[in-house]
Amino acid sequence: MRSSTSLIRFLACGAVAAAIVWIGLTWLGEFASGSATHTTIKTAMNAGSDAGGGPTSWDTIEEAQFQEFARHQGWKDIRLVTRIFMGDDIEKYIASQIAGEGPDVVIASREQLAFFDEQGLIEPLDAYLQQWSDYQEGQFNKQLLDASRGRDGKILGLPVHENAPGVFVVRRDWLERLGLQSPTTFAEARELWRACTHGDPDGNGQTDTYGYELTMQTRGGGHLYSLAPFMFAVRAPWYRLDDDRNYVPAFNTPEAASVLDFIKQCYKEGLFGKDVMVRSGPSSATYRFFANQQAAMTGPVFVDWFDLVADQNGMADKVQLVPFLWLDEQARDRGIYGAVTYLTRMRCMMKSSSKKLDSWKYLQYFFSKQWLKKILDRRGQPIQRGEYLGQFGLFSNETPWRMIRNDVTARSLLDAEQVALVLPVEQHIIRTPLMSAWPEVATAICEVIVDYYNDLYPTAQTTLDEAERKFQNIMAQKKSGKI
Amino acid sequence: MRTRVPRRVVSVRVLVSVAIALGIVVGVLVPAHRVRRRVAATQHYDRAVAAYMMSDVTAARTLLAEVARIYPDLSIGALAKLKIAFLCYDEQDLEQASELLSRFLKEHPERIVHLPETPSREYFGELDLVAWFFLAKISRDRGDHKTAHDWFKRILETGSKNPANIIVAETQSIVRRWNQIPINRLPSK
Repeated sequence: MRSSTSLIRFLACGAVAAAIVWIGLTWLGEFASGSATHTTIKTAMNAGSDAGGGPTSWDTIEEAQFQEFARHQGWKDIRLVTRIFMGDDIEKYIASQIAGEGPDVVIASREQLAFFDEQGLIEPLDAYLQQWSDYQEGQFNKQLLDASRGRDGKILGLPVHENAPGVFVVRRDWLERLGLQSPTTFAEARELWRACTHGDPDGNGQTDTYGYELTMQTRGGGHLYSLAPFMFAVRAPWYRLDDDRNYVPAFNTPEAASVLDFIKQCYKEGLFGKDVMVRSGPSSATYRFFANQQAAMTGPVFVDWFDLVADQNGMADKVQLVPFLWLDEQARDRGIYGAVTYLTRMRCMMKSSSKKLDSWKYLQYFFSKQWLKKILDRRGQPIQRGEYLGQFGLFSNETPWRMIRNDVTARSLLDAEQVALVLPVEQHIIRTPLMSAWPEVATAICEVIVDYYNDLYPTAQTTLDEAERKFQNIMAQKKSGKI
Repeated sequence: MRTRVPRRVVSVRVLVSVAIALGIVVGVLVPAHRVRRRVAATQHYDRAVAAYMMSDVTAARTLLAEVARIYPDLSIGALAKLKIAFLCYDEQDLEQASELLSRFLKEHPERIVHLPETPSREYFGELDLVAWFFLAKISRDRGDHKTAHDWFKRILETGSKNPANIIVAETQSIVRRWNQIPINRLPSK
């Protein structure tokens, strides 16, 4: 009797356990088959050295928004997943390719994009774009598309927008105190810098100020970034593509030599501050200008960035833009000028993607009028929308300057007075082509130029000759695969 | 030989012990409750911001109204009222914005200083300055430059001296530009 009871109990327990296992397996099976019906597009972007890593709330929002868009389009079987590369994203990218887990779409910097192109990893977008009615109707900005072309002339990726032209900024309060006008030429700027270095423009009784904030760092071409507004002003962008689409130096000109002489003389006079070669603090000279408040001028600054940083440092009312700084009066009379500008991070499709058509759907979604208008019109992308509300609509930044789409016009949050100042600079913009070797080349050129300031080269011309030689060497080494 | 403690003394001791215990419990629980309430308020407010980030302005407005209603004693409740007024201003509903801002000033005659408890970019500082600022902007938008100028002046005279206060910084910028233009040529926006 007792044994039959325990047998019944045993069987009952077994039945319950089997039922639980069966239900669990069924659920798992449904889950697995459910996920198999979705095509997942993986996008990736660089998160720098952020140890936190992981998708941000912005990415999560974009994933959710894409899901919504896909549902409306009837693309029920597509999902979007955002992945973040940490640190050196190019290495991470290659590792993920080797592991067979590479992303379909990558959000890349100009140099990264050019690198991927050189490695044959990019799927050009020309053929896809040509079949898109929005492109056929001429809704895309031709200049921005041209700036997104690789070495062989194919469109490598699509940027959302382009920054405003880079201009200079000057301390308005110091000008007023010294009774000086805003400079318009290099020589006038030097006079102002002298007055601010040897005088007391901030009225604190000490000579603790200087003329111009720049960086002499050579790593990553830091000094070239500071030098860019001067070099572009004399129409000497660092490089260009020749007719055979080879990268050639564009900085070895007599005007560029005069820029180097100008900067060297100012350096020798101490107009960049006594500690300019070893200065610490924020690595970007333009940030340092606002944070340290010791210099009279800096550049390049972008009007779509300017207000926010000026305000964050309590400088909104103490600074003003200098749209033009001509080489001399002759250049001003003849209208010879140049200005630097940059594209925002670009979205590109990878050749290794096994879901190119679906990836193109994602790009169509992201660059659709509907989505761009939603994220950029009025209050910016979701993260900027949060800031817009948080700051009562004041100083919420990243108002697009020049959009990739002609039919999306963002309500400008920029100061109308500043926009009016910068607009005439637009016609002088020089767009540099994508070049993957630029970080290495820029570092090499920087080292030569800074050595010239320290008298290791006899003249500006010999300095530029040496910089050009280094440029050519690096390009030749890259071509032969030595680096 | 142990002496017997009188019952009255025992009762007093028990009462004192209970009072101390209660005091400790209340002393811990009340601040804990306050902290919990502030956290809940911030989370509620963050949900409103998230809705706005997702372009759902209606949901954002509803959530902000809830924050203002449930947490009237916290600065975030007052801030939520200003955000609702700002959303009206942003949608160019100047009548409604003006009414909400005036009501805010009546309901909060004492100055409230909001200090955010989350790392997100949020206004911090005196809240009455925000109400004055938007009342000034509404007056300016309506072409009433004199009233607008009075509000702006009031902000600069009685507001924060913190240069990073965005309301003060923007007011300084507006006033500076106005000083350069004759008053009869001022733009309405």
